[in-house]
Amino acid sequence: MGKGFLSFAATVILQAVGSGYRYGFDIIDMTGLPGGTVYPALRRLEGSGYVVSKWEDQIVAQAAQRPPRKYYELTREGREALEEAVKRYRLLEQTELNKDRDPKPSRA
Amino acid sequence: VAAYSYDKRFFAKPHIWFIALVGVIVPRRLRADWRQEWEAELRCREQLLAEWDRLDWRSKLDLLQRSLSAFWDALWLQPQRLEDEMFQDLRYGVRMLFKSPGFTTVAVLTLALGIGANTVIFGLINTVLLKPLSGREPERLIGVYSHDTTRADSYRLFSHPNYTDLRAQQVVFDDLLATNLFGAGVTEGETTRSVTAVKVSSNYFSVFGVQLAQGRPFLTQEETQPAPVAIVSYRWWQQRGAPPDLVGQSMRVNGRLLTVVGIAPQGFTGAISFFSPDLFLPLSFDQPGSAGGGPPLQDRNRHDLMLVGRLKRGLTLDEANARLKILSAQLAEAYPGTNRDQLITVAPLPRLAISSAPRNDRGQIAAISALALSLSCAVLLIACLNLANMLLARGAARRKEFAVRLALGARAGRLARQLLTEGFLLAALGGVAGLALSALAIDWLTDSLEQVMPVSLNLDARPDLRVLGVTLGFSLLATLFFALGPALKAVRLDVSTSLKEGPGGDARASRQWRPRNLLVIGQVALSLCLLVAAGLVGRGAFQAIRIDPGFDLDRAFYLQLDGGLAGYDEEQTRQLYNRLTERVRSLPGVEAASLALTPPFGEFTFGQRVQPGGAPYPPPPDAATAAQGRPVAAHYNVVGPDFFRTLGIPLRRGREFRQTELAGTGAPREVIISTTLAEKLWPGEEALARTIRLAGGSDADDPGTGAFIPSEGRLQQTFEVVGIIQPYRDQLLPPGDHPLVFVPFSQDYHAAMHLLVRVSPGASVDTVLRAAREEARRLDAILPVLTMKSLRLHLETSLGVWLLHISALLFGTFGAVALLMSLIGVYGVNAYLVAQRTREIGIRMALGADRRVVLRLFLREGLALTGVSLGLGLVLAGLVAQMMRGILFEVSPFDPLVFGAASALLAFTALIACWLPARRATKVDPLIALRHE
Repeated sequence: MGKGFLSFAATVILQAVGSGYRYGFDIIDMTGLPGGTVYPALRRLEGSGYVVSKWEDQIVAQAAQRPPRKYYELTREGREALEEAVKRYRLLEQTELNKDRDPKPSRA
Repeated sequence: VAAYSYDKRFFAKPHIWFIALVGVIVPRRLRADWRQEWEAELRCREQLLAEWDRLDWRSKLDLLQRSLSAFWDALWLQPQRLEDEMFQDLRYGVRMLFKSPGFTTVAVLTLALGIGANTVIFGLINTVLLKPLSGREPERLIGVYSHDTTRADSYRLFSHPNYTDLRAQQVVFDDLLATNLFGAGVTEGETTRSVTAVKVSSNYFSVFGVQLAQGRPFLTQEETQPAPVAIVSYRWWQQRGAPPDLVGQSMRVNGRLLTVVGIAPQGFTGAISFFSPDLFLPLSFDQPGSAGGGPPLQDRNRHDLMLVGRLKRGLTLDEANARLKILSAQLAEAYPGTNRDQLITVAPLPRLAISSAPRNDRGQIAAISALALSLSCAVLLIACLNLANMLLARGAARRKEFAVRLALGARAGRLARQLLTEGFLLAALGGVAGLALSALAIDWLTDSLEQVMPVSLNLDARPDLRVLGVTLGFSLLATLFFALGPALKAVRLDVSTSLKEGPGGDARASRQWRPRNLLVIGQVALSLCLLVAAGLVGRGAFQAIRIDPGFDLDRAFYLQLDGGLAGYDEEQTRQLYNRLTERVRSLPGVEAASLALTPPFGEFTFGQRVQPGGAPYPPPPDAATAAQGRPVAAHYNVVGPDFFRTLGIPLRRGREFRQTELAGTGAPREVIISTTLAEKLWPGEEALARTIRLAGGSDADDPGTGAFIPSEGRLQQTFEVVGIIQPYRDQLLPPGDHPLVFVPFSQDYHAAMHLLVRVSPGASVDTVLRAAREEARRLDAILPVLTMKSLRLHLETSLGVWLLHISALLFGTFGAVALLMSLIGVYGVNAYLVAQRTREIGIRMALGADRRVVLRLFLREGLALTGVSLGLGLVLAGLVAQMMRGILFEVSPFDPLVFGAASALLAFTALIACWLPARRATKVDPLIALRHE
């Protein structure tokens, strides 16, 4: 998977992961991007080494009565690439991502 | 991973169900992970919704819609597949193919021949039938026709005033072009060459929607006011080394100096898909010397323009015809003299012909194409059957390998995919080789066609995307055909028995080879079909060369002359031809010489309908006999005195035309006819000294001939029969003695004539031919001598013979390939059988069977198989021959010689293919065979 130029969508997704939105639907809800863009982009970013994924601990999941989730996390390279890309996409700099979050299911 | 299997209402959740479904296409390596992530996400979402009590149907729909994203995600993972199993399969397949180079070579060659044959045929079909005309939106270009509603088959071309009337009416066409094909002679230095040219209206290129490569199109005033301008084709330009300053240079066409004003775009063909004129001239360019120069362009009686219109967008043919009907009525009212009862119609342009009448030749071409394609498909099918057979044999040899893999945990589907991958590798290699083969074949074919075609061709049959696609399709089809069966067989392998069995010791051997028998039967039967087809066509080609035309071909030659191309008028040309004929007659070694419009076996024959002199004209439609006025279709020729002596055709009665009849138009109107025509006009009666009337072209009666329409004046006149000749054959197709009618040169002037010369016995044709050419040069250096050939060579290089030869070559190749493949196939089966039954043979021989018995055992089985195949093949071949009836040249479709020879050849081949393995069986040493245990 090639590194280098990040698309706008990839940058937004990277930013969302960096801001603590850590699994697929969370990112979808936050960014408003369609799932068909988000998941392939996550796989691409993982292939480029900008994010790593990790399965949720079985015990945590069982306690919450759901199958374990896959969480994504920024790597150091990902953080650098994000900083660089954000400079390119000026608009994103102003976007304040709300860290205090309470995910609500969206109704398309 | 199994933690989420707690949900009992699995099927009530379509989104989960969808993930399970889509998961199938995710590469197996990633599948579990992928599924888990998606299910976790969707379930979490579902749960959150449930917590908020909002799990209504709209949320569910939303959830389902979100799960669709999984599909894109799964699609995105597809390339990863290459990295795992498929890539492994491919690598393993390549290794397997390299391991047995002999098998691979034979298989690839077999497929290359099968796929190549199909690609050639499809390439030709693509060029002739499918490729669109040049320009933009070619489907809106349609032919415009005009005919007299009171008479059948009375289609005629358009006059220029009629054309401008129609062009001015903007109700049917966006624009309308007029064109007229004619022969032009271009003088370069001392020689004049004939080129194909069209006269075109000034909007010609804009109607097609193409831009000239260089220069400008004709101007409106150049269409009607004679202007010395010309546009040349791109190819013409290229052939002269593509000089950058060609536009503006002058060239001599038909004796006139013209300025090149433009160069047509590359590959531009005009109204026929693969015929490309080299020279475009304005409509005002009048060919001097042709039929007295002809009436001026503005004459409403001069009908010589073919029209092609660009239909208004959205207009159907029916709507256009309805509007044209009104228009025709208006024109008939305005110009009753020329347009009464004339109905103008539109119809799709024919693919291959220029004609005054609407013709749909697509059906005809499609039928021939379908036949050719089905034969080449048969070759491919045989190749596939053969390969399936080889793969089955290989599969048998690889049983152990498969059994080991299955025992080690390989899934059956994986094994089958492995085999299919190997098959596709073979097919792909075969496809590439086939494409290369077909490119060579098509190059060769177009080259040889250009040698014999009278007009320049633009047969660009190089493979385009469509051909490449079809080749790929054929390769895939072939893979399915030959690799699927063996693959399925491998899948149903029983591991324990396969692992246990010794080499060649399969107890079920006799049952196992049954499907292979069927394959061989199909293959041999199809081969017989192809052999019979090849035999029939080949025999026709042979027949065509040995044809007895009724005169001596060997001591005659001709020079093709055209005074019109040098710019001479009728008077000058007549004088020149007379003087030349006189001087050639006096050359040493010349027995006789004469002029003729068309030589025997020419590319064109002219048709003419003939009535007895007293019959009513126009011919009454209900006339049943010649006496009542029913016209007889005949071939028409214009000849000089001594013509029949020159060809060596005996006169039955009467005399030849006299020298005085050459002199001019004042000569008496006389004709010479063949006995065939005399018998049809006046059955059982004396024809000499009777009169006939020429009733116009017989285009409709005999589609093989070009139309010749005499001017209205001549129709009123009758001709006296002064001679009757023994019939002879003047063309190859259709076969038989056609009725013939000859008119003296004085009565019907043509600028383009042939000087026929008969050489006296003992003289060399070549020497006399060179002397005659030299004589023509001495007499007039610019007189164009277009071709000179002995009649024998003329026949052998004629289009008809070429067609027969090419088809013989094509079918012959198919037949030979089929024969070779059935040899391999039958040999393969028998060799396999012998190998399988080595132990049985050993026991038989140990128990006292001698070699003859063993030989007979195997020969009998092999020959029984061949017998069944031949029987089936004969039935099939009969059907094929019946289908080919229309394209055979003087051979009965059930020619016993061909059927017999083909069966014998195939039977002999099969015998050899059976005998070789059977002989090997007799060499089995019982001791060694039994030691196999």
